[in-house]
Parts: sequence; C-alpha cells; structure tokens
Amino acid sequence: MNGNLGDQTSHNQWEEAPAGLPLYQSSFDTPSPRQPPVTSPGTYRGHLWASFSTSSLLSTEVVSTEQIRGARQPLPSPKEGSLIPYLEDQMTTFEAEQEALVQDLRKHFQMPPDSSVITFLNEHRNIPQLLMESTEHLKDCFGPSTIFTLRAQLDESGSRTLYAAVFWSGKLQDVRNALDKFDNDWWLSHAGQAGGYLTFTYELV
Amino acid sequence: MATSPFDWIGYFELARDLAERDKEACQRSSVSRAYYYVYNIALARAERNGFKVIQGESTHAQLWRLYSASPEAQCSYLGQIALRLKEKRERADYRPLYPRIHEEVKGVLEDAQEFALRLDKLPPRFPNPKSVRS
Repeated sequence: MNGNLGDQTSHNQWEEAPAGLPLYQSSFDTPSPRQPPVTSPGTYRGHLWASFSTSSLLSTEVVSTEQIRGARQPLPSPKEGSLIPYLEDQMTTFEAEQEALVQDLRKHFQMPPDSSVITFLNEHRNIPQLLMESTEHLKDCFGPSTIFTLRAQLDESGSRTLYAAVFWSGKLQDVRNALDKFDNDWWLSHAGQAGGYLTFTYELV
Repeated sequence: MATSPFDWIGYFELARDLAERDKEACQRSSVSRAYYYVYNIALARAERNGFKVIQGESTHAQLWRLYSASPEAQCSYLGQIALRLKEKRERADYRPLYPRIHEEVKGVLEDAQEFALRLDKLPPRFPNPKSVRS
C-alpha cells in the first residue's frame, strides 16, 4: 500500500477530523479515542474517518490534509467513519444489556452463590435471552409460583450443561405432565438455539 | 468371552431388574444403566452417520449437542430426553442424597424406553453431523 488516496478502494471514505474529535493511527494500534496520535501539523495518520474497508483497516500511512480534502467520496458522519469507537460503543452497550438481562434473570430463577452460572451465561450469550423467554411458559405449565433453579453442572469430562430445574414436592406424574406440556408448547421449538447447552428438568423433593 | 457385539438392550433389561429391588444402590444403578443404554444406542447411530468425537471434551456432551442442535425436531427432542437422563445419572452416581429415587426410577425407565422407540422411528440419516454447527 503506498498511501496514495487514489489507490484506495472506491468505497473508502475520508474526511478531515473536526476540531476536538479524536484522531486514530490504525485500527490495530489506536491507543484510545481520547489520545490523538502525534503528527506533524496538517497531516493525519492512516485511515482517519475511513469507513469499513479492508484497505482502510490495514492502512497506517501518513496522509496530508489536502489529500483528505481531495478525496472523492462523500463525507461520512463521524459515527459512520470511525470503526473502533463504533465497535467499542456497540460492545459497551451489548455488555450493559447482557448484564441487565442476567440481573433480570435473578427475578425468575434461583442461582447458586458461586459464579458458575453467571460465568456460563457470559460464555453462552444467547442463553440468557432464551431463559427470559421461557419464564412465562414455565409459569403456564408448572404454575405461577413455581421457581426454577439454575445449575451449571460439570460432568466427569469437564463439560458444563446448564440445567433449569424445578424442585417438585408433588406427584411425579404431575411434574412429568407439566414438562411434556412445556416441551410441546414452547421448548422443543426453541431447544435447537441452545445447542445442547441448556435443558429444563425437575428434581423430586 | 463374548465374540459378538454386545446388545445394549441388555443394559436396559438390567435397569428394569434393578429398579424392582428395594435397595437404593440398585435403584441408583438402574438409573445409571438406563442412561448408558440410551447413550450407547445413540452413539452407535451417530457414528454410523459419521459422528467423530473431538478429543479433549466429553463424548457425552458432544453427542447430546449433536442431537439437541439438530434442525430435525425429533432428533432435537431426543437430545433433550438424553440431557435430562444424563443429569439424573450424574445425581445417581455422585450425589449422596437422591430424594424419592424409588419413584424417579420409573420415570427414567419410561424415558429410556421412549428414547429408544423414537430413535428407531427416526430416519436413518439423523443425526447428521454435517447439519450441526460445531
């Protein structure tokens, strides 16, 4: 790559950084959005405000303000143009949503005092949402006051499966009927999403 | 010494015999044998279809993931039955307390039998290891 903007792929977009907004060197060595890289006046390093193209991701060349101004592509908004902060924002939002979801799950499921279940849920990101969706169906089938307990059980070979279990003091046949209903009403059409890492069951007490 | 392959139905027959005895050890062993009956017939079917175990991870977990994550609903259901049996087997083999096991064992035998019947009816191409993401 020679740093000539004319050689950039046609979907690469450039814009001079507005005053006060962060500058980046490359996607891989950006230290922090709050710490502009050291450059000589009038130049920006790399793919400043470049949109998402492979060439821009790999670009680390120094380009001049004039080159940036002369770029032929329309100007993207700062949000469109800066990949790293965009992804960081997205990750932060996703993390916050995931954390909130796991906290919400505590209202519907009992969890052990150790971190096994939380760790499991963080490693299997689609399972919290599935569990949340299951709650109304569990109540329909097992009764509105029934509480399920989550247990991330380790087998002899070190593989974990998450079990959502109801402790059942009633008749065996009643809980088996409830589980059948739950399976047929909802779970069997969603079980594939859990990929064999989650199931619902009962324990007689 | 046996010269022909073991028929896993023998495990299920043993599970039924053990379930009728009063001793808790027999009932726990019944749960365990019933699970291994299911595991072995399911593994044999999967291997016929090209299932290969990845070293370093539980064969059981891999097998039940293959069934559970299948796009074929009946196959996925078998995975769920099996995961539940696996949990009961682990309780029977390792937990010092297993409340109401004399009742539980009946349900386990029913589930194991249902598993075998459903597996028998499942089209031979399932589970298909190529249809499941690893």
